[in-house]
Amino acid sequence: MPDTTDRAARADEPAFRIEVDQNRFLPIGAREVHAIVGVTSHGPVPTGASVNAAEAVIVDTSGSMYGERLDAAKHAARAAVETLREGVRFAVVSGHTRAHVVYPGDGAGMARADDTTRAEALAAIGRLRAGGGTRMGTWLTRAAELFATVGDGVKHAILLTDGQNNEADEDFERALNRVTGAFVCDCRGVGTDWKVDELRRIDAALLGGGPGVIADPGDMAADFRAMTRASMGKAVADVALRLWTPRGSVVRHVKQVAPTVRDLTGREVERTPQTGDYPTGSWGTESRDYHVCVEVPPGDPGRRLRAGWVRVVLPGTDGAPERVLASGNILAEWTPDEGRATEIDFRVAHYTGQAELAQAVQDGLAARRDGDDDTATTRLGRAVALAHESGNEETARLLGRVVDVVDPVAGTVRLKPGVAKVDEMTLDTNSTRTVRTRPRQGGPDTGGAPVPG
Amino acid sequence: MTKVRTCPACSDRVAVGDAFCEGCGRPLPEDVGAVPAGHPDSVPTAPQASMSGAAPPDGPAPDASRGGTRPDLVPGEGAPTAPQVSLNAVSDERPGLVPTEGAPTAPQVSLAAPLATRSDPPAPPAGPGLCVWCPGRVGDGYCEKCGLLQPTGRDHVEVRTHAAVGVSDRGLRHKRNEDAMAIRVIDADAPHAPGVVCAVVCDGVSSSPRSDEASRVSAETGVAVLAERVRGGADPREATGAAMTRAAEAVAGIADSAGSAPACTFVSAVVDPATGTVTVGWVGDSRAYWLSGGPSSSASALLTKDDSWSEAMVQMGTLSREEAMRSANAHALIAWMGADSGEIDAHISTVTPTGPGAVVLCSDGLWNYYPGAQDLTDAVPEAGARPRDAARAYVSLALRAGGKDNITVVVVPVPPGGSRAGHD
Repeated sequence: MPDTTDRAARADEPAFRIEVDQNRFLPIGAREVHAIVGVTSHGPVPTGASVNAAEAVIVDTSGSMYGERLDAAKHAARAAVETLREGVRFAVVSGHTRAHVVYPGDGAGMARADDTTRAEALAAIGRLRAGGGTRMGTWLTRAAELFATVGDGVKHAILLTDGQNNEADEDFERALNRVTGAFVCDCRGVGTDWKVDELRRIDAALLGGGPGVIADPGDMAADFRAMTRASMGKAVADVALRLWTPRGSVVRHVKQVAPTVRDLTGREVERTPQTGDYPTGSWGTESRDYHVCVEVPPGDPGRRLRAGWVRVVLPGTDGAPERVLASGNILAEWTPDEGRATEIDFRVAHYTGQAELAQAVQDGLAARRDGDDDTATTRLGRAVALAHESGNEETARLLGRVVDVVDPVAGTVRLKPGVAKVDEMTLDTNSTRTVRTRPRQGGPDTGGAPVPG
Repeated sequence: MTKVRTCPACSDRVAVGDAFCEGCGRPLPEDVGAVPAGHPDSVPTAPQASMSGAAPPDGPAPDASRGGTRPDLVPGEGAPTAPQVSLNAVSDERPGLVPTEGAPTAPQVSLAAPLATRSDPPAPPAGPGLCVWCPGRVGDGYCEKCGLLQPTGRDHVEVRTHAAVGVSDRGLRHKRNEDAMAIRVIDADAPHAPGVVCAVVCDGVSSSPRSDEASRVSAETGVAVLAERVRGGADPREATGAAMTRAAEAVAGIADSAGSAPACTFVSAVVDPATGTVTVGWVGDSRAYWLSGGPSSSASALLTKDDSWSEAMVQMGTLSREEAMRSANAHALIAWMGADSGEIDAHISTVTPTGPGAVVLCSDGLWNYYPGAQDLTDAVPEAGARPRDAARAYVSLALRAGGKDNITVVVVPVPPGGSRAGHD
């Protein structure tokens, strides 16, 4: 039962739309309310003077990149620069033991994309040399400094690495905390010597689209071009999902569940005692789903509660007030009718399963790395069953490279011996990608309106 | 009456009875300025003039087993009805038990605190833009604090005064709320009957047309006449008689014809804090109860006797109470207010319970689930100490029990003691 609100948008900003899917009926005494909040934006394609975007390309130039990988990385970085729209601010960072801005140069801030600057950047990329260590925290810190020079707008970075981060964990953590929210970052790992968990931490802090494996360096250019193009399509930055909850309630979780699983619960910024903002990064024309769970004080039979009021909020820039672009209600209504109260909404069930699938894959692979074959078999088996049940064919296919599936329905599997590292890493990085369900259409729907009678 | 109350945290001005500061959202201590000084509720009372020895001068002893004198009016087991006790005058005082002025007893403090919710007049305090359930404001139909969808029309109505609280709810099965209630509190500085609480609950007879209108007209007329008469110095019994007569006339007046006559029940209470008397009047099967607030109080008792087929069967000795209640006719009324009711036999009864406790008026939407006075007392102990919470709790219990009918509950707290010796 979608609860939909549209707000008229200004010409230069995207129109957002919120749809809420849930079973609002709860058994008497129940507290937990679940809902899938679908957020869709239809952005006008930003062009010319309306562009207020910045792009940083961070290329790992540590010693291990020497040779074919660095050549591929140069090719990819060039592709990214060529994809930049006219007028976009940009920089190219060479990451090794330190971070060196190879274009437009250390201390020069960010360049404005035009034919001249693009050509200069391509030449600078050609001069990249491999040598030194891998210090991702340092690279990201430098990127944040660059983005700080360009004011508001959509800020995006691409980070490419081939190795394990060589910073003390607390230094890395401190750097991540410092740069969180400063820009959006998509991470790519080439080869199999990098750590999925490390890129996942960066991705989580910087709201990327999920880390990705580049198995074949030859694919790198196309991938960079696609990421840059997607970034150029972003029309607004720092969009927040604002959640109001009733007095006496507790937000159990706010998770992005499509296109990837990302737990935002700990990212809440309190606005009022009953309202918090959850960062969602930059938006172009796209659609994302969120699973919200709120624990509310139980109400009397027949009472209807707004258990959550979800709004899409665009921050005000240059002193302008923030703008609410869409809103929707998460409801709760207590009923003695057990049939109604116990029915689980299809989309809530689906995404609950997708989140469990991601966790099962990650648990299983971690157990496998640790040599705990029993746990690995159980968890990966569970993952196979969930992927099968939910029609997540991509994850099912990737699981098939790591386990032999005996019974996909029951989740009976055997661990494969001699699994290729790249297959394992591909499964790991893809585990958070979910299969989407569409909101159900039609049917009796009252949305947020009171029912007469 | 006005009383400025401020939030201890942010010094924002807050309304009397608010649980939370609108400014900063912090919970407010319940006892801060809850009862305006000088209000009768804050006058120390003395336990006295209990119902012991109260003889029913005109009330028939309903049956031999329950007849005679009943010290303390303790209802016998399985005897939910009380004889129609009428107390002529409560004049004997017990000076020895009167606490000194300005030294309220401890139970009074806890009782007094939740009393003041909103100031007079007792219109529904949830005015436009305010939540029915909490001090929050309403936007988009939902309360910005508690989140509840606001009811429309009479689906859920709360009346809060400093001296009585009423809650009326549609329930879960009925399309509309055909119950009605009204409360009036006589000003504390009125020459007659200061601080007297007048309350009426009416239940529209669902088989009659426009019964929602009947109950509303009856309750409003009844309470207006009650208040007018006691304010003018009339005896509560006389006032009750007049109120019922006028209410019945008003209900009869809205009928299109005798064959299409809106009808309702009626139960009223006049609670006089000065004399400690509780005068109830009724027609039909809406009820008044005395609910004990502690071991030193008069025992809980049903103060009315239903004008229903089942009660008649029991009184005639034809059926046991259990058998009668199982019958399909159990709830059939044998008396009501309406153009087709003929001359009504108005029942009036006066008791002088020893507090603390509460007088509760309710429609059968509540008492169907909690018929006995002790059932109600056990379900919400010390209802008089927190009348608003209690009234809501009773409605909540009835909803949880099935909410098959409209539910209306009025709770009038009675402070410790009986009449207020030396007050008048």
